[in-house]
Amino acid sequence: MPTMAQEKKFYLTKEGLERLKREFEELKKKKAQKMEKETPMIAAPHGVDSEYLTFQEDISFLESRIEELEEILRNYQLIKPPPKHKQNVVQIGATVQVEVEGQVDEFTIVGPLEANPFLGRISHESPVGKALLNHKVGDEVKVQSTVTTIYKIKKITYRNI
Amino acid sequence: MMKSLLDFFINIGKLKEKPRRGWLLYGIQNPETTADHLFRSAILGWILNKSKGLDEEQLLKTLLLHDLFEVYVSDMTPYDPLIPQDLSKKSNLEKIKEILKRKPPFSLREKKKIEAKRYQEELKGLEKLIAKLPQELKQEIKDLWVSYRTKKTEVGKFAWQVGKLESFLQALEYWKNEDKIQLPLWRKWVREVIRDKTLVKFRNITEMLLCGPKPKRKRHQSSMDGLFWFFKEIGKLKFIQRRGWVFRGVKNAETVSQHTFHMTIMAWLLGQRKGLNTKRVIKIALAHDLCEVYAGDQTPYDPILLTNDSAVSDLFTKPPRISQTKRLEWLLKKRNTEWQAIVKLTSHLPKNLQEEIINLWVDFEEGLSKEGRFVAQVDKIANLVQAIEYFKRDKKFPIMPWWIEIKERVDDPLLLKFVDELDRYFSKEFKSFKK
Repeated sequence: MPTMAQEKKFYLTKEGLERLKREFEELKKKKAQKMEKETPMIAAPHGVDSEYLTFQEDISFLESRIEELEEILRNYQLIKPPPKHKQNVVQIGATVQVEVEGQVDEFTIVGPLEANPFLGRISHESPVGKALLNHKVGDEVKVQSTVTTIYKIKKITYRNI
Repeated sequence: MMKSLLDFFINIGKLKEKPRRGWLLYGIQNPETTADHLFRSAILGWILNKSKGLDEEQLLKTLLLHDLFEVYVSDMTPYDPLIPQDLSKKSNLEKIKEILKRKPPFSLREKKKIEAKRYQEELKGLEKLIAKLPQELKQEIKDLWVSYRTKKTEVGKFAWQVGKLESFLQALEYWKNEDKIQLPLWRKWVREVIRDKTLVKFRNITEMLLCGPKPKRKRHQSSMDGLFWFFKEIGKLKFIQRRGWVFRGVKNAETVSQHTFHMTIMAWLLGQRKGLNTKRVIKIALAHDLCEVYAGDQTPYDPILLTNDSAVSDLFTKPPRISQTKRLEWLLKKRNTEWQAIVKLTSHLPKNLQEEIINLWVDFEEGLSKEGRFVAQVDKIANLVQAIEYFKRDKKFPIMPWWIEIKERVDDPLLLKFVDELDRYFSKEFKSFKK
C-alpha cells in the first residue's frame, strides 16, 4: 500500500467529480451484473470460447477502471476559484486568454483527468499549463525548447467550475 | 534510455517507406510497405486468435515485430538466388516475369541451405536494430522473434502462419485488382504453409470470396464471411494517405496503416516502461484509426479549411486557433462521423468483438482509462516524430505548429521526458538548418 505521502492528488472540477462518481457507481453495478448473469460456460475442455475470452477482457478492464476510480476518489482535490484578491493570478481552474504567435486563444487550466487540449482545457502538468501558473495579466510566459513560444497573458477569469 | 528508444522508433519508421519486394517483382506500382503488412498481420492475429485463446499480448507483439529486421535486411522472396540484381533493366524485368511463372526450382537440400542463410541474415538485421535498447527489452524482442522464426512455441507457430496468411490475402487482392499475380502458385504455396485449422478455414473463405466462381444460389454466410469482410475493409487503410501531410505537400505521405503500425510500437514500448496494461495499450493503438476506412482522416484544420479562403499553405504555419464553439461543433461532427464509421466497419463481426473494438476506440477518443489517455498522447508524439522526418527532408515543411501543440497537449511525465529527447534530436537538425 502506498503511504499518504506517495499518493498523487487528482485535481477535479465539481462537474468532473460528479461524473467520475457516477461512472464509479455504474461500473460497480455493471461488474456485479456481468458476474451474475453473463458468465459464459466454456463449451469443451479443449475448446476456447471467444465469448468467454472477451468477457474476461471486459471484467479485467472493469476491475482496473474501478480500481483507478477508487484511487482518484480517495485522493481528489476539488478545484475552487481562489479568493477575489488572488484572482489576478493564474491558478488551476483559471481561464486564461493569451496571445501566441499573433493569434488569440483561450485555455482553461485543469487536472490531467479532464484535459482536452483541442477544446481548450489544458492540463496543469503540461509544459504550457505549468508555465502559465502563478503569472498575471501582461506577463509574457516563455515555453522553452528548440522552438521557444511566448504566451502573452491578456485576461484571467474564474468561471463557475 | 530515451535516446535508445527514439533511435529505435526513427529506424522502424523507415519501414513505412520500404515497399515489399515481392510485389515490386510482380510489377505492382506503389505496393504496400512492410509497415502496412505488419499492421494488418497484427489485426488478423488478434481477431483470428479469439477462437484459439493463445496469449494475446505475446501474439500481438510478435506480429508487430516479425519483419522489423527489414530495416536493415531487404525483404526476401523464395526466388531470390535467381533474381537479377538490377531491376531497372527492361530485359531483367522480362526475365523475372518468366521466373515467377514457376515454383522456385530448388531441391530440398538447397532450400534448407538458403533458409539457414536467410535466418542468420534476418537475425543479424534484428540484432543490429535492437542493439542499443535496454537489455530487458532487447531480450524480449529477440525471444519473441526467435520463437516466431523457429516456430517452436504455439504463439510463434500461429504468428508465422498469420503473417503468411496476410501476404496471401494481399496477393489475392492484387490478383483481383491488377491480375499480375501467379494465382495457382500462391494457392499451392499457401496450402503448404498454413496448417492451423482456424487459419485454414479463413484461407478457404478468402479464396472462395475473392477468386471463386459466383455462387448460383444464395450461400449461408458463416462468421468467417464477416471476418473476411472486416479484414478486406481495413486493408484499405494501407492506401489512405494521411491528409495532414498531403495538405502540406508531402510526397508519398504515410498512410493510416503505416502511422498505426509506428504509433502502436511506440505506445507498446513507452507504455510498458510506464507499467501500464501493455495488451490494452497495443489494442487501443491498433483500433484508434480503424474508423478512417469510412470516416477519412480528419484534421483539426478542417474547421478553418471550410471557412477560410486564404492559401492553404499559410494556414499550416500556425496551430489551428479557432473559437471554442467552432471547435466543439467540429469535434461533435467528427465524433459522429467516426462513430457511424466504426459501427459500420465492425457490423459483420461477432457482437462481443464489435463491442471490444468500439470500446477501445471510445477509450482512445474519450480518455476513459489511463491507457486510453496515454495512447492519445503517444499519437501526438508519433505525429511529431513523423513531422521531424519530413522537416529533415524539406526544410520548408512547417514544423513549428507541431512543437507548439505538443507542449500544450502532452502532460504525462514519462512522455515529457521522451519529448525532451526528441527536442535534443530536433535541435541538431534545426541548428544545421539555421546555419
